[in-house]
Amino acid sequence: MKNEIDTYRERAGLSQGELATAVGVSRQTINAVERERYDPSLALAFKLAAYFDCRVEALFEPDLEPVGE
Amino acid sequence: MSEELTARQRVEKREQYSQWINRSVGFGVLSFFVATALWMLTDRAVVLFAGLGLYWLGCLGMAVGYWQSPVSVGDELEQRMEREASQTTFLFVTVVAILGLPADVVLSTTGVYTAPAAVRGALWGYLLLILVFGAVHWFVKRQYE
Repeated sequence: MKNEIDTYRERAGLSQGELATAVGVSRQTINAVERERYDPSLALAFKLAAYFDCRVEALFEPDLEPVGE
Repeated sequence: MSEELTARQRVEKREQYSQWINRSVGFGVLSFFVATALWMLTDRAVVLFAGLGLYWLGCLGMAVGYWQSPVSVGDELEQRMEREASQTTFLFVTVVAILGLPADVVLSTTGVYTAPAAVRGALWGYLLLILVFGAVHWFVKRQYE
């Protein structure tokens, strides 16, 4: 899943470690999310959105298949 | 309790308990090796038993760390990695058991080939593991129904 975590993080002047501590995960987790190797849990996605004071949709752009018949 | 912790406290607790667990395991394993080395020098069984006791103490410390930690010791990425590794390991066990067990039965029954006891033990052990997995899966599934 594409995301804008690194953009928001750098805009806030934070290191990966500082952001990780702020949302309660390891630095490796933030690194993996930023490199789009790991899709975070819903809880972490909401924590990140709350931390950056934005909507989840602003941070993540899911590759969704069309819904419906 | 975990709901009351801030994100920073969660990270600190995770590090604190991980450190406790690692030290407990390290203490236990090191004690066992030291005891084995001492036993080789002294040839006294009590030294080996002491090493085993300390090893179990280390295991107990590890278990206490996991039980007492107010947060999951691994964060969500670590849990995901553990899950993926477990799935791959279980796939290996399943494939080996599915292919190997019937072959073992056929070959040993017909007298063509009898695998070493260790290999047969591993195959039947894998089957037992699959059965345990099935039982645990059933139990877990019930919690989601």
